[in-house]
Formats: sequence, C-alpha cells, structure tokens
Amino acid sequence: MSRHPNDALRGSLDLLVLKTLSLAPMHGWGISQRVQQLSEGVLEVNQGSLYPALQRLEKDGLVTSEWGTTDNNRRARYYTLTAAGRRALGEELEGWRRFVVGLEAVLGATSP
Amino acid sequence: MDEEFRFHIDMMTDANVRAGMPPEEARRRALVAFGGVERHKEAMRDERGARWLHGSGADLRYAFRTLRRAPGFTVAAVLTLALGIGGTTAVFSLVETVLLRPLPFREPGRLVGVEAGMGVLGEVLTLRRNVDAFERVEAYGSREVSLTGAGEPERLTAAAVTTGLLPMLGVGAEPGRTFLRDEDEPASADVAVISHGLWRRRFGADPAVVGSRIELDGAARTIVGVMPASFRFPTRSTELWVPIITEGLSPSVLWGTGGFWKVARLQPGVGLERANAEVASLGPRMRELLPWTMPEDYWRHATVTPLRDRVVGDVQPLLLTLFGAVTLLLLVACANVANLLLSRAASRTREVAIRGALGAGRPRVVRQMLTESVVLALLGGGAGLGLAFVAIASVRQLLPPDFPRLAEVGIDLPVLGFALAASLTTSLVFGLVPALRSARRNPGATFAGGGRAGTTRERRRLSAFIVAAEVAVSVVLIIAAGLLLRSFSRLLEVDPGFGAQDVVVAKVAPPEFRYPEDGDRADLYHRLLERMESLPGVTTVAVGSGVPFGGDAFGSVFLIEGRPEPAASGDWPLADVRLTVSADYFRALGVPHLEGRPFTAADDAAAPGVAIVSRALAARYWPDEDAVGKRLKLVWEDDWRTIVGVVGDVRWKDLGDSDGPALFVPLAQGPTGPMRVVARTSGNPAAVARAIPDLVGSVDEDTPVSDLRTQRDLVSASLAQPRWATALLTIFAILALALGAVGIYGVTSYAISERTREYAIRIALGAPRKHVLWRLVRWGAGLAAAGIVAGLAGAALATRLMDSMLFGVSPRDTLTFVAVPLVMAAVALAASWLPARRAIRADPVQALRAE
Repeated sequence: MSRHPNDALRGSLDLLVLKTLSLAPMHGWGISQRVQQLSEGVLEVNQGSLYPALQRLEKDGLVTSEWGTTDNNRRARYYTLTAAGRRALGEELEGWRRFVVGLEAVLGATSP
Repeated sequence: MDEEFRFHIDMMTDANVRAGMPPEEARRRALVAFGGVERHKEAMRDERGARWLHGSGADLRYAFRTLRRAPGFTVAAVLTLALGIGGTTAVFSLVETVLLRPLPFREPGRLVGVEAGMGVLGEVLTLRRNVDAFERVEAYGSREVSLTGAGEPERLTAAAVTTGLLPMLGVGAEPGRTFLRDEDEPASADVAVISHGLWRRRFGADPAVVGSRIELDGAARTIVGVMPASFRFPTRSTELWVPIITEGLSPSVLWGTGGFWKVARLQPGVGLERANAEVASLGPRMRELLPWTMPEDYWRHATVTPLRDRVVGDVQPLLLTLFGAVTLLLLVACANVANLLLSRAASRTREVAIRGALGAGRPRVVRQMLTESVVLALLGGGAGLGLAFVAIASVRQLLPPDFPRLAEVGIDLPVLGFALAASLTTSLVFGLVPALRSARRNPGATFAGGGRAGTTRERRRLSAFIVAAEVAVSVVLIIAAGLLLRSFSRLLEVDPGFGAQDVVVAKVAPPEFRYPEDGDRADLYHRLLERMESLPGVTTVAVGSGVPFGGDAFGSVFLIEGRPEPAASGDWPLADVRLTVSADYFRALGVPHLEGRPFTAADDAAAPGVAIVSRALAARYWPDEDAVGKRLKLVWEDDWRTIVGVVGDVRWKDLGDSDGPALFVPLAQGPTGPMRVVARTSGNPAAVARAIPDLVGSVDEDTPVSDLRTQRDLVSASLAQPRWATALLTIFAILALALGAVGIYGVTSYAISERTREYAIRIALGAPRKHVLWRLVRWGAGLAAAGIVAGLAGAALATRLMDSMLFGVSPRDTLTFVAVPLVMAAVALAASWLPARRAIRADPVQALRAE
C-alpha cells in the first residue's frame, strides 16, 4: 500500500486540531498551546504545519474563521468547527481507534 | 496572513518573556521557533496551488499500479470500453460529416435551395429580380454528355451551371478559372470546366489542358479551368461543368426548358422565414410572365430550405437511428464495467479502510477511485479510437458510392473531441457509483471479524439492478435490429416483375450532330439490334429508353380519349414511367405479356400510333373495362395512340417501390435519345458484356458506351443502403447480446462465489443439489426477466421512430417482439445455469474447509 509519507502525520494533526476546536473556538497560537497542555507536554504542534493544516481544513469546509479580538485587545483570527467538521471528527476518531486496536493486536501477538 | 503570524509570534514572545527571557532574546527565540515567515507563506501558497496537482499525481501513479496488478480485470474492462467507445466514435464520425459539418463552401450557412416551380430558367431570372432576401440566385442541372474527338468516346456526368454559381459557392479553379459573367451568351458559352479526376484520367494532369479544345456532344468547347479534387458538386460523379445560356432566349425556351435546381445565397443577417415569404409571394408574378396557363397548384408549395438538407437527403433518420443504437451499446458496455468495478471494490475493502483511517478524507478516496475509472476509460477510449479508425475505413467501402459526403468521412478534430468526451463521460457513468460506495463504507466495520453481511447484500442488489438495466437496453437494441432484418428480408422477397438473371445492360448515346432526328437514331438502333442478335451467347436483345433500377425512367402525363382535360395538375392521368422500347424489350427483360399483342416491325413511323401499358395503368384508368383498344395521347404529340397490349407490372425505382403505372411506345414511333441496350444471355453475361463496346463502335465509332453491367448489379445496388444499415445494426445487437450474457454470467458467478459456504452447508445437510441449483438459476433468471420486461416496454416506444425505415414490417411486429425476449431469456438462463452448475458440483466439505 503506498501513500504519501505525510498522510499519517497530516491525519493526526488534523485530528488534534479538530478535537481542540471542538472544545472551544480559538486562534492558532491558542490551539498549539492547548494541545501541549492537554497532552501534558507529550505532543507539541509543529508550528510550520499548523497554519497550512488550518488552511486546508478551512478549504475542506471543516472549520471556518473570522477576525476577533483577544482579551488584551489584539486582533487575531479565530477558528471554529463547522457541523461537517464535527462529523469528520467523529469519523476520524472512530477510524483512529480501530487502527490502534488493530495495531496493538498485531504488536501483541505471541504466536504466528 | 501577516497579521495572523504577527499575533502568533507576539504571543510566543510574551510567553518567553514571562518565562524569564530578556525581550530581544524572547523575540529572537520566538521567530526561530516559528520559522521563517516567508517560508510559511510559501508553504501555504504551495499548499493551495500544488496540493491539488500533487494529489492527482499520486492518484495517477497509484491507479496505474493497481490496474497493472489486476491484468485480467484491466484487460476485460478496457476491451469492453474500447468496443463501446470505438463503435460510438465511428458512428459519430458519420453523423458529424454528413449531418453536422457545414458544406465545404464559402459561408455555407447562407446557402439555400429554392424548391419551387418547374425549374425553368425564367423562374431563376424572376427570382433574381424580385427577391431582396437573396444576395444571388443561381441554378444547376445534371446531364450526361459524350466526350468525343480524341480517342475512345466517353459518356460523362456533367452539370450545366449558371456562370455565377461557382463563384457563389466560393470555390475557384486551379489551374485556370471558372466562368466569366458574360459566358452565358451564346457567342461566348463554348467553354467548359473539368474535374480534377477527369484531368488526371484523360489529360494526364497536364497544365496545358487550360485553353485546349474538346468535343462535347459534337460541339467544340475550350477548357478554361480545372476544379480542385475535393469539389464534388452537385454529385460525386460530376466531372464537367458547362455554362447555361441565359441571354437571348425565346420565351418558350426560357420557360420551357426545365429540370434546373435553384440555389441562392441569403443576404447577410436575413433569415429563412423572410426568404420563404418573399419567394412564396411570387406566385402571381410567375403566372403573369409564363407564356401559357399553369395548373392551380403551380408555385403553391414554394419553400426555401438550407442547401445542406438537399445534399443530405433522406439519410438523416437512418444515421440517427444508428447513433442511438450504438449509444445503447455503449451503455451496455458501461454496465459491465461498473459491475466489474463493484466486484473488484469488494475485494479491496481492507485497503480502502486503512487509507481512510490514516487520514485520507472521504473526498480523497472518491477522487482516487475516479482517477482509476478515468484511466480505464482513457485506455478504453484510446483502444476504441483505433477500433473506430478500422471501422470507418471498412464502412467507407460498404457504403454505396452515392452516399452523401462520403469522401469527407474520416477522423478529424471534432471526432477526436467526441472520443475524449465519451471516454470521460463513461468513466463517470460506470465509476461514480462504485467510488461513492467504497468511500462511504465505515472503516471500522471491516476490522470486525467476517463483517460482510450488510454491505455485500447491498452490493449484490446494486449489481443485479445494473445487470437488469443492461438486459433491458440490450433487448431494445436487439428488437430494433430484428425489425430491420425482417424488413430487409421482406425486400429481398419482392418480385421485381422481371427476370434479372443473365441480363446485360449498357447505355448507348449516339452523337446528336450525326443523328439529329428521332428517326435517324431509331435507324441506328435497329442496325445495332441486328448486329447484336448475332453475338454468340445472346438469346434476346432490345433497346429501351430506360431499364428498371437504372435511374433513368421518367414519367409523363397523358390524355385519355373521351375524358375531359383535367384542371388541376394533380388530376392529370399520370404514367410514372414512359419509355420508348423496341419490340423484344419485354421478352429480353422477362416481363410477362398479359393481354393483346406486342410491338412488331409493322409499328413503324408511317403506321398509326400505338402504345402498350402496364397492368397497373390499365387497372387505374380503365378499372372495369378492357384497356386494349382504348386511345390515349401524350401531351406533346398531335395524334392519338391506340393501346394494343398490356404487360405485367415492374418495380422501376427500387424493391420498395409500388407497382407504378407505365406506358410504352415503339422505337420507330417515339422520342429517342440515349438508350439502354438490354441483352438476355444464355448464361455468360460477362463475355457478352465485353463484346458490346466493340460492337457498338463498329456501328458508329463516335457513340460512347457507358454504365455497362448486369441487371442483377442494378438490383443489388438499390439494396445497398438497407443492406449496410441492417448489417451495422445487427452487429451492434449481437455485441450487446454477448455483453449482456457476459454481464449476467459475471454477476451470477460472483453472487454464487460469495455464498459458496451457505450452499455447501445446505448440501451437506441433505438438500438435493437440484433444489439448490434451481434457487441459483432462479435468481439470475429473475433479474433477466425484469430486464426483458423493461426492455419490451422501452422498445415499444423506441421503435415507433423507425417507421420510415421499415418495409413490410410494423414497428410493433409481433414475431420480433416475441422472438427476441425468448432468445434473451434462453441466453440468460444459460448464463446463470453454467456458474450455478459449477458451484453445486463442488464437494461441500472442500468448500467449507476453504472458508
């Protein structure tokens, strides 16, 4: 089976972004901070891929964005999950879980 | 973008400052962590632009790889598609050339034909002066001329044209020129333009031919130009053009010499309706100018139609039917490929599920499967194009030579475009549903053990529906082909009324300068007949001004003694065919003599006028009396003729023709001109045919002999159009039947292979094999039955459009509508029985273990 090497990574980044946004709308910086926070430091979002990912998700209709102001009165672009995004999140999560279960089953096998 | 990044970097800087870094250090760290802003922007730009391309590139490579790994599937799919797309492209090239492509003249959209009146020159001149909607009005007429004076005399098809016609069409001569405006005067009209073919054949393509003199019908003309090879107007066989004299004509010639076709060019921006209105309103003016009274319906149905319609003629319904039929074939092909894809998709569920789980979104999966379909379709289209090329080449041989625009048929840009469009469209038709189905499937379900029940049943139902639809479409096509076949066989059964076996015919045209009068020509023919009777192998010989299927039988109106002269032109007694014949004409052709006596040598120029009529004419005008002894008169003659005999009816134009009333006058008493020699041989027509030109030459060396062939050939040529149409449609129908059978076989096989376990259990538990077999066959037969019923309904609607093409067969012909479903049912039963039989033969224990 062949696919572009970044597919899996892209998939996981999308998942993280969608999940984070499902909790509350926020801007790019906020997303990267929140992921770090929720994973207790294990996962760190690669800054270089975050904005391209957001752009792609917006193009696919899974998130929308608009300008807003932060608490300290600065302008920032806020991203929100759309209904389609919510659905996609559900599917991606389901698929991801199944994959992991399968993976573990293989890795944990003791007999051929 | 910039502002967003700036915000992000600022926040990062703030965080660093809070962590204890000095401000400049904090900012520097943040910038480094974020990476170059420009690089980001570039990456995002690339994302936007290249992402689509990159995805497609990967999809394409992936598609090729998977197709290569399943060669059986790929070959089957590509061949099926090649068949469908190739056939459709080939027929489309015919349709495009004949029906869609504009005529090869300057601004062809503005050229129109005027169908009105008798076709006399006076009408042309009046139209010129009175119709503003026309920029120009010209005329042309076909005739045959004899080329003599240099070597073997030859009979050519020529066209007399008004001097402005060729410039109006916008075609010039090369080398030389076309006619000058004033070459329509008697003094300067002794010119001619020849065709490229004649130039090559007779003059060796010598440029010096321009300015040289030739002899046509005994009169000298100067060749002024050669038309290009592609110019074939008004017919394919026209080789010579001469100017029509329109100046200095007496009214009786101006309004009496008919047979010209009128063609005009509309003023720019003027529509057909206005031209029609103007032309129609000229009726009264024409009557004013005509030197004699015309019947009431003269000029009543005057119309102006696009010139293209006149050229294309009645081939349109035929071509459209063919195109419809081949499109049905393409649909059947698509159905088979769709089923192939569905079956294959079933075995790729795991692969698709993993791709889905690892981040390929649903649109991505669909796109990838569609790419595969497009690749398949393009491969099929490419192969189909090759097939179309071969098909077009062979069809060009099959078609009769007078098929409109035959020379222009070939593969050109619009045809290529069509092939491409057809490929892409078919890829959507057969690929979309399987692609959407694959993507929808929940990846989770595949990983649960077994887990195929729900989706498999759905897929089987979808496949079944596709096959049923395929069967329906095939049934429509096969019924259409069946109707044409029956129609064609009915045509072949028609008794033409004469015996075509072993009869040779040839056209003979004595030159006018040596035989100016009817009597002179009659003498020549008599001499010719004497000579021909002594030819070995000849049993009976005769001459006549036309032969059946020869295209040279013209009609006349006549008067009947004792009945009033009719008022409207529709009421005149009409003989569809009026011929001048020698005494043995009917015997030579094998036409039975029914009543009275034949012509004899006593019926010469001095004797009282006589005539022979056909049974149809006698029955129509003397239904309750004996026609023999009655008198009739041809309108240009002064004396009445007595009917002395009645002969059997003959089909004159083609086998589908009705038995037209015919009138015959003896050779010594009638108008003569070029005639056909008819020679019945005792069995070797070819040998006799070879001897005829020399024999004619020995009687008069300047009399050309042309169109030398057997009467059988003439009959056969008249069947050419129905023959090729029926042949093509039958080929499509057979292909559809084969594809349909393959489709049923495939679907049944696959359905069975998935339930092998279930059936193995049933058999192991004691169910009789026959019982299980019957269940399997019933499923396959069931969906075929549904398809057949739907197909019958569709055919009942569709064949109504074929009415004009059928002879002796109704579009709802019972035999066809019963036979075709039976054949289809038999094929479907066989196609579902074979895989079922194989399945139950298998050892149930083996089958269970293999699971």
